[in-house]
Amino acid sequence: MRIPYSEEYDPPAPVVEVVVRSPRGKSVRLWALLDSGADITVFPRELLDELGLIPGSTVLVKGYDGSTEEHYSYFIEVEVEGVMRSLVEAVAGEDMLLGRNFLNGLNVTLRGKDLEAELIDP
Amino acid sequence: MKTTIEVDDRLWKLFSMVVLRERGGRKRGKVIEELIRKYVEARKFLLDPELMDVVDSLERERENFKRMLPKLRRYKGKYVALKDGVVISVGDSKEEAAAKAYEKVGYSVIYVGYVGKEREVRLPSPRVIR
Repeated sequence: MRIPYSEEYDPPAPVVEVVVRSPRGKSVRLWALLDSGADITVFPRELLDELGLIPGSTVLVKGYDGSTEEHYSYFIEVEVEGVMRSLVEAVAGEDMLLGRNFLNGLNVTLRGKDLEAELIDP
Repeated sequence: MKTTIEVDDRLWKLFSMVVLRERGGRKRGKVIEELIRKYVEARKFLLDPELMDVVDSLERERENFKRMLPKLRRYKGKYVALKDGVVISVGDSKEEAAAKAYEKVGYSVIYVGYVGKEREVRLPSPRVIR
């Protein structure tokens, strides 16, 4: 699947439409940034109520400045263009970021010069 | 309960001076408790009783996990999921342990922990606001 970079980011960024589902079955559709620098996936905290998510673990999260903070983590289902990962550990934040704990299940090619990314489910 | 927090040095010195001046002694703990109480009171609308139950249960499971860790040595290097202080599943990843646990007990409060030194996860993506 080829996806164009979003010009809503400056510089433009690879963003893909995803479906996030709770193990209860409720789901929402939203845009997610492909973030190969993130070890873990992040979802917008509004989804906690919307999907009725229950924390299942904790993680120590290290930010870009080296500071660490403990967060509850959640297990969600993520679907990109029919490619589904049954449970992905994720933390609540501001934006939806697909971290490497999701992306490593796919072959991802970033063609920045062409403002296009490619996702292949091998 | 007793807890430990990190505060900026200068802020702490200024706070100590203000408390000393206003209360005439080392009453910093009391002032902090009052501030926390006011903060919570002003946000009571955020305290959904159902959510409080979930957080309480999760924290209980987490305490169980910490307490049981020495006995979980046979699962070293694995992730275990606990429910009511009992190991209900084991996996090579958090996701595997969680999936097996939810299959057994449904989508309810569990705690998945690593038997070993818990790693940090990195989220180094700063977003520039333009």
